[in-house]
Amino acid sequence: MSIADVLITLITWVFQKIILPIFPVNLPFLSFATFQGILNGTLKHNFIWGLAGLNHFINLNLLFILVGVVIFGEILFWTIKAGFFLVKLIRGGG
Amino acid sequence: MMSNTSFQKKTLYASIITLIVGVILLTYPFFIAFAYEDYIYIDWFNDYNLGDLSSQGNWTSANWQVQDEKKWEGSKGIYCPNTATCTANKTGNLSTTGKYVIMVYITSAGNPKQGIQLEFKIGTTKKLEFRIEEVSGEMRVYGNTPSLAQIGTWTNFDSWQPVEVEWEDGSPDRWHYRWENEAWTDWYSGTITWSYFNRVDVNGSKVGNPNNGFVYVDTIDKEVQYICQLGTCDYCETYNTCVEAGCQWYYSEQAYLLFGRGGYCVEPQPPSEEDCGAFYKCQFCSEELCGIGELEGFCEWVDKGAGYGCYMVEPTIPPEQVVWEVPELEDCSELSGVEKWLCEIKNFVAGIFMPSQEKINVLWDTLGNFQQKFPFNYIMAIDRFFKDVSESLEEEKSIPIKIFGAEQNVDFSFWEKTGKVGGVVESIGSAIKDFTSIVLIIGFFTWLLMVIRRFWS
Repeated sequence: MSIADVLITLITWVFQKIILPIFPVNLPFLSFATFQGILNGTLKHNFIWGLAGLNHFINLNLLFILVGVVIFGEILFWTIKAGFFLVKLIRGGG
Repeated sequence: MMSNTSFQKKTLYASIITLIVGVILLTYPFFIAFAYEDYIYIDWFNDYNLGDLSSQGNWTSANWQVQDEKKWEGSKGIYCPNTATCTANKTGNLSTTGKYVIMVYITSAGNPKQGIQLEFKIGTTKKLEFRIEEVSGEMRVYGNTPSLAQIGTWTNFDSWQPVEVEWEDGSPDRWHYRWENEAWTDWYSGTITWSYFNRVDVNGSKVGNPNNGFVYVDTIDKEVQYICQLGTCDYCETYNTCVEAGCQWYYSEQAYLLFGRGGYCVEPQPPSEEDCGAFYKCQFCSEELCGIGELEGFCEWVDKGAGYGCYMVEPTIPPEQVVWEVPELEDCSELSGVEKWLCEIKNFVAGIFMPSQEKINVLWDTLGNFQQKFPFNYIMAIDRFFKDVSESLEEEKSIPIKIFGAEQNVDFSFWEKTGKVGGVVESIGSAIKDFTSIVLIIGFFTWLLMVIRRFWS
């Protein structure tokens, strides 16, 4: 057994016995099985079949990319505005 | 005067002794903790031969029989025939603080009904007792309070019910009981004290009589073992474990609206044309409908170990990531002389620091366990959702409509008809798509201009 093996044994022990048990599998108010069942079952099913009709008329890939850019742009815009506001607040300038 | 060598030796010995004492002091609580367990023994009875329990699995028993007719989990359990008194005991780990759950099935038929008695012992000395016994036509539950007294009644027959006992070492020692999944009794404490338990006796509580009822026992463990299998499908938590057990994952929009759950595991039901559909509705499809038409790619008719059925197509698993590979040492066989020695020395030194593939795999698996834990499992589920939705956008699906009870798909054949738009030959479908794309892009640029204006205002 090499030194690296001993180190790995120690690290895996720490992970398995100390760190991994800290992480829960389920949220108390929404178990993973329920979350997975809804998201990748009902919701996905309805979403995919809902979009299936729209796909004939609209380029959905383009639509989602633009929506993503708009969301990202708005977040960036308001972050920069907030930054300028804070700078003004701290400097006390008009 | 002390010589230099003598001083160095004494310092060295003192250091070694200090180190040893230090290590012992630091680790002795672990050795003490390892000497005691939080259970005495665990037994699921599945590996035993049918017939007499005695001398199997270290049991000392009289009349308890291993059977495969009624069981809480697995393939076997034990039962006490109504013609004899049954006793069984087994010595296990020392336990000062711990818990026990034993699954019990008492038949409603029989006069009197067969009960059960659990005795917690140190060697042969009884300390704690739990007993279910028919008295005056009533199934009474007795326990130490600390003297043996009635603590309740037993009401569930012809079904598996847990009996739980928990004990705590302390000042004073204390214990409490629970049965039939009801509330725990209050903690009891008093004259009964123990340094540890190491034996539990499981006895049929009535003297043998041909008119008695029967009592079955299975799964002696620290916690109630909820097994996902046919007969107890409702204990399967995920779609995959449910399907592997041969159960069905029930889904209905009504149930979803009512209970807020997408689905849950139920005992197998016959297929129904009405409920047949994609994803979790595949299970309701007959062979004729499974994977045909709209369901192509969503459902498939396969045997997953519980006979042929219509199953949801397994989600696309992302390509397997490259498992970390340990680099190989240099091949010295073709070298000779000093070069070979140097090569072997280099390999030797590298070998000291190089991990084995086995250990690397263990590390890989350990880190992989995080995928099952919050928040990573939730994040991966969301990621899968978006990937599947994204992949589904690549294909155009038919649009079903229902008019006067007759269901048809919208006919998009005219979509492929071509015509000249601005001198370029294009189908109607792509022309409409191009038009809506231009509308989207114009909308996007309008937003962009407004953002720039807002920024400078």
